Amino acid sequence: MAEYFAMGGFAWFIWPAYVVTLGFMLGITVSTLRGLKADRRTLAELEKGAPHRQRRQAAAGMTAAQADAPQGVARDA
Amino acid sequence: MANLHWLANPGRFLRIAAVVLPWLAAATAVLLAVGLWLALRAPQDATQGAPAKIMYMHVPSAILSMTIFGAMAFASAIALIWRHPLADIAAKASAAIGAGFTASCLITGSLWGRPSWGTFWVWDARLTSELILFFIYLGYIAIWQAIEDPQRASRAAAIVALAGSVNLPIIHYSVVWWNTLHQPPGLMQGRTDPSMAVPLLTLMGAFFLFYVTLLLWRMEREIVGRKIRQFRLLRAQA
Repeated sequence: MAEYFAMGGFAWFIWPAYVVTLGFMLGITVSTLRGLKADRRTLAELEKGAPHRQRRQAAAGMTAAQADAPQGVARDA
Repeated sequence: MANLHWLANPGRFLRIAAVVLPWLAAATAVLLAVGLWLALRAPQDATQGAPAKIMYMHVPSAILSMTIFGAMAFASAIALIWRHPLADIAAKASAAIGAGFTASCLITGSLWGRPSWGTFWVWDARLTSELILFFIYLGYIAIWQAIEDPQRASRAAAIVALAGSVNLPIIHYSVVWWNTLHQPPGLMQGRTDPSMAVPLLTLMGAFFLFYVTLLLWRMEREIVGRKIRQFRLLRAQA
């Protein structure tokens, strides 16, 4: 076992490579999911207090992120 | 194109993503675990010895760094031409994942270079063009952060992604066009023994699934974030 982890003396090159790559993958997963959770909560709070009209407008504004997009897209389709 | 338009509705996209994501995340975890298990048990490379184990992290990172940028350029083109409402969200959501894999490719490559070439870094065509890709990713991310209005940011960032995609064939062919220290690819030419090719291909698949999973989560976050922004703008007006 110890011999395997020593990697013929190259342990200090091989294992950091695994730590860097897998560490990045884990890190970005955790930060994405945490951010998503927090943002969902913020949005739910905003929606709770908002009148129905405002809720519809916010949703429409998001869809229309590209200004005239929805109509243009519909026509092309 | 019909499917793209059908998915253009963010509400529909979120509903489909919610169904697909648990399966996608599970498949990613399983494939990654299998790939790592196979890679760590794979025999040693006959000529390069133990350091060649770094390949299992380096090669999938490198391929993803380029695939993701290609996907971003494609999405950016769709965002510019058809104003597809999800295209710029997809491109933006990809950038951090791609930048991370590019950094991972450069760092693992450097860790592999030291024992096999005797140096962490050389200004060779392959390494330099990959480093440039990293800077293009940073530039793309910086544009989204610098321009507050998403419509204007989307336009500017899309142009950077399209212009930056010129670098992709340069990276790919750098080992052919120039005499580099970096070895040419062996996998697709069948020069890699199955005992090493199978773990490598499994990990490449796992990394790709990882990208798709993260992309959907990050797109959802971007959609939620834009709704929040819209709410705040409406509040400010009221």
